[in-house]
Amino acid sequence: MKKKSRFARYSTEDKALLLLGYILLGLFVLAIVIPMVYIVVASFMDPITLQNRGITFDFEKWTLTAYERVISNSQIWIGFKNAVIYSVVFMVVSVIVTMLAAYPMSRSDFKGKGFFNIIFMITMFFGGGLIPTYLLISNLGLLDSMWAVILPGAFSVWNMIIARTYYQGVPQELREAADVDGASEIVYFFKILLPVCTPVIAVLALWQFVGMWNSYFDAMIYLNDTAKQPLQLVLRSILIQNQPESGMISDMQSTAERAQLAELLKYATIIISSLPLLVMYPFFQKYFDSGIMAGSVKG
Amino acid sequence: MEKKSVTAKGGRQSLGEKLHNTVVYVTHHWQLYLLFLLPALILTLVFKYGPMGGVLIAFQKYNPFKGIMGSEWVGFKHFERFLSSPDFLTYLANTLKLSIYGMLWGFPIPILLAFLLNRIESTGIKKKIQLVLYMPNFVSVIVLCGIVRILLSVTGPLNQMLGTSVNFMTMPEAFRSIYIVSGIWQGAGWGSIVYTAALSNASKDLKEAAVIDGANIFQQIKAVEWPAIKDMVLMQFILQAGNIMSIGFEKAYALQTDLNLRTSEIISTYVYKKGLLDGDYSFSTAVGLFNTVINVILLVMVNKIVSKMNDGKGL
Amino acid sequence: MNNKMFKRTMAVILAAGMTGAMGISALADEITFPLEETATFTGMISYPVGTESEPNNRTIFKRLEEATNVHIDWTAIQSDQWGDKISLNMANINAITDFVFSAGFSDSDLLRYADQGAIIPVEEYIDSVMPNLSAVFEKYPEYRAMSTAADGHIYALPWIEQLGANKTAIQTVGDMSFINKKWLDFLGLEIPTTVDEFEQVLIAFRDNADKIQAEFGIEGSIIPMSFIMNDGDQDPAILINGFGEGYGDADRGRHIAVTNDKQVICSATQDGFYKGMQWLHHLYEENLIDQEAFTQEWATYVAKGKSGRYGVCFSWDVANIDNLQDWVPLPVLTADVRNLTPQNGSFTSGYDRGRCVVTAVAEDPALVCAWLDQMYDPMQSPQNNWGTYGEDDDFDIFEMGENENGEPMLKHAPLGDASPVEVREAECVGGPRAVLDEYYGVYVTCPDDAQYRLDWIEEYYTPDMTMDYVYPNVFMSVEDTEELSNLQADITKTINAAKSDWVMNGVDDAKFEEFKSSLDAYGLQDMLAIFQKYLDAYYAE
Repeated sequence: MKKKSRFARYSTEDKALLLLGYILLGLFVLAIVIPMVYIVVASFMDPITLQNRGITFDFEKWTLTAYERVISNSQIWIGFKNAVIYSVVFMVVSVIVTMLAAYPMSRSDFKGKGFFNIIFMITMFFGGGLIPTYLLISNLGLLDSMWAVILPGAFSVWNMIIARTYYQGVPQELREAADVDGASEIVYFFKILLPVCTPVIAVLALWQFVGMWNSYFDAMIYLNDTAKQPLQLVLRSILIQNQPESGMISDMQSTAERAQLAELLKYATIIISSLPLLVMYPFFQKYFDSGIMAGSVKG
Repeated sequence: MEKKSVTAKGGRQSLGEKLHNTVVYVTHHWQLYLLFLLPALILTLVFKYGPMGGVLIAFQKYNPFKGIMGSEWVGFKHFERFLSSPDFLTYLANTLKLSIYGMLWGFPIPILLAFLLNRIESTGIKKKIQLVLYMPNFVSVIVLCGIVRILLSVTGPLNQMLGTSVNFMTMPEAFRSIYIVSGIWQGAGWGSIVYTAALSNASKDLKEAAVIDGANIFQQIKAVEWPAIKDMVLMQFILQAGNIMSIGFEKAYALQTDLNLRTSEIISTYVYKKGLLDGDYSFSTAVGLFNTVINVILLVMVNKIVSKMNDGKGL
Repeated sequence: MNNKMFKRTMAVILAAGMTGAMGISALADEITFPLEETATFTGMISYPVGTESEPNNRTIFKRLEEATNVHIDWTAIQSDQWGDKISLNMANINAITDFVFSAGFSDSDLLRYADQGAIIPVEEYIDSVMPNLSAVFEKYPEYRAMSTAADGHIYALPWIEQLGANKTAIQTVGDMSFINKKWLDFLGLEIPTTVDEFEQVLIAFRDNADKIQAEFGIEGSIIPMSFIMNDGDQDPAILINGFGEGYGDADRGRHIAVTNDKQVICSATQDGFYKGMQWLHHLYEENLIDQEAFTQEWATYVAKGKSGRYGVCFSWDVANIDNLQDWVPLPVLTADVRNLTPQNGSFTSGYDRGRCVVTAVAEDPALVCAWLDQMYDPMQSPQNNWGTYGEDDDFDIFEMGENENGEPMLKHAPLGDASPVEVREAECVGGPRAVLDEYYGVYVTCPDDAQYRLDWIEEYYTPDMTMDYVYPNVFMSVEDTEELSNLQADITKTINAAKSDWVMNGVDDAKFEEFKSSLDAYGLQDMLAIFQKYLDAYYAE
């Protein structure tokens, strides 16, 4: 294998540096893995045992109660379904709109670029605020609709800038080759440029999916029908404690019971809400490091 | 910005010629406008500019029943209230310190990670490491703070490891570090994606050439990898600098305890408590506006500085 | 403006005009239930997480609709989202409904919405079309006084839940202290009556930890005393009541108390508070207090409790923390004096001012109020509060029985294994209601968990309540409410931080003086003046 020869090319200083680098990386990885393992193990434990003894790898002490409760909760599955739908739709819409818009903005000959630049940049800093946005959504009749959650954030200027920068990094030869063949904008974009952009598409797609998956605030204020609630919102309703009104005893019992439940489910819900992302990730990963560039330039 | 004119003559163009050129360009490249730009433009105009008039409530005593047009105007009263609040400077300082230190520590790490990853020869291992690095980003803020509290609790893992029983969450001195470190823990791996993607663009030929020339790692980085990501780095830097005042309140709020408020109360949590929880929308909008103005000033400054350093290339 | 919004706005304007111009008494005569023609209103209501989301499917509302021929189009919001969503809805003319059933508005909310014209005053309707509520107010005029704002209007319909009265009211003691009788018996100790005896008991718990652990098979270390500082009923304030003059720090939110001369004082600047904190610090240094007592969350607190690790703990009810068999309430400890200061507002028992409001978009507010009055019917209120009877499936909170006179009475029904909380949440509807002390035994039986707590208070605590006054539940003006809230923000923050700091790190004269100065700098005297003003006004009547 080539491995041996690759390392051999490095000088001793370089090898030392590399070693240092690997150690750093290793430490970072450990710093991530250990808490994760803790959470996973904790999800299999009874909260009282956990509190008193800490986590243990003694399988005798493990229990599936938390998972049973979570899985049998139909609201969680509804939330799951909704989260998948919203995240996928959001991802698709957002990536399309962003990748499209970034293209003209990346061309140096595009007339009006400065003008549009300003229009977009302003929105990164100025906004109407919560109430005016809410009223707008309400007036558009989008309340309690999935689109209230998807449309406002679909176009992200930040992402557009990233895509634009990426486009600008694409070698000129590609463009020139297309011009030689007399390709129109649309053809060039879809047939030639995009395939080369798979890393940035994958990144943006993943970012948007994860962003929507983990969000709850917009869903909370715009959606009311419990059948439309996404997963994070459902989880939040399980985990959030409401302060009982002091003196109103009917609330006391309820709070105490709810808190017990939340403690039991805390870890299992963390796992369940994060698992799908972890499962999806490898699918995206293969696009990150494509060396497609190398082969696509003629001559 | 350079504009290529269709009819390039020496000397300046008249208004008529400029107009003519524009019209020609636009009609020739109409797809650029209609197909590519339009969707984003519509979304922006409707959802970002639409509500912008709402900023006016910062200068009003907003009454939803009278609407924006009917509510009483109070000028800068809310701004005065905010700026004259006794703890204003503390909140401002806390916000700035959190951002600036956060950037100082947090900015280089994704870059470092991207470089390190790039040096991993085995793709199999590299992919596995990437998976691990990206994992923390998949948890939401609430979950992250839950994890942090668990790990830092008096009888939790960190204390057990150190053999102490310190209550980190109650120490104002610890808050900043907790906030920043947890931020790095969650975001560094993820943030390195852009750089990794950009690095994948680094021409392989250039790299081979550098190695053959006997360049050591530092020289290779300087010649090959850095140019590949330089633009991205600067872009990220400018954007983050422009967001210094906009630290979201969720995480700070979740990590606050009664005892660390001295360092953990930042502008956005203050606004949330005083403004939103009390339903005082005018006040919270006013502070938001204040925040924005500072951000913009910072952004413009940083952009100018970076542009000068980078031969005029900025945002 | 679209058509709907136009209509809404017109309704607002008309309602404002009509109540003045027309005179309401004319309407009163026409309202009897069931109505001849079905009327429809809109209302907002919250429901507990995981329960029925369409209120009209709940038995109580079904029966009400049949009985009154009034149909309600509900906007139902899950309780965990209520706080965030209600203010948005109140700001959105398209979303606001005729009434808000389970508003739970704070005083400042009420005043703010009243100022905006979002909610309407209802006192005239109470007098004309709400006989049930009027009857309640007649029996207890203080409730009417408490519901009336400084401008003379009543802006919301209250929730009244009486359990006991004055010094036997269930709310007099919130953070009840409990001691582990099982351990005491095992170690052959008596229940302590003074602070010194108490300390000895804790020390005994600490020193015999191994034996206790072995004897009762306890997992995890023994914790002589635990609490959650500054967390409502889990706070240990009751412990230091006997120091100094005996004012204690019963009002853990506002830190005020009322002397027998009807003067409002700040409990945290009193000598007793200082000495009490020093004593707690001493206990802390002796390792008698849970290390996590200053930051732990309810769940952690309970988890440790359920494992039987506590010797002394604090809560509304020890059943939530451990169990009822091994524990007894710990009476107050004598220090310099022997006293228990009841919680402020407790003499008038459970009272929530802003429970239900009628909004400006209601086209027929008299009818809405008349319908809401049904909730105050003595047989209806207990149901709205706890649950109902006669549902075909599963368990019910009540069964219909008879009282001594042979009249119908709701009896708490056996629930088997079902969790009382779950059944309650599934059946009750909340909203405005009044459950008075005299209803028990006549219209409804007293719930078990309330009864034993009432008994505890009467047996263990009422005899030691030597002071005459508590701060009443007053309704302040907008300016004062706002001013107070601004002042309190910093003052409360400082006091709460000091409590934790002093117990952990100790306090000396210098620190205490500095503390008092900083409170004055934050406007403590102004705050007390505002409280004093309303106290004087309250007793002037």
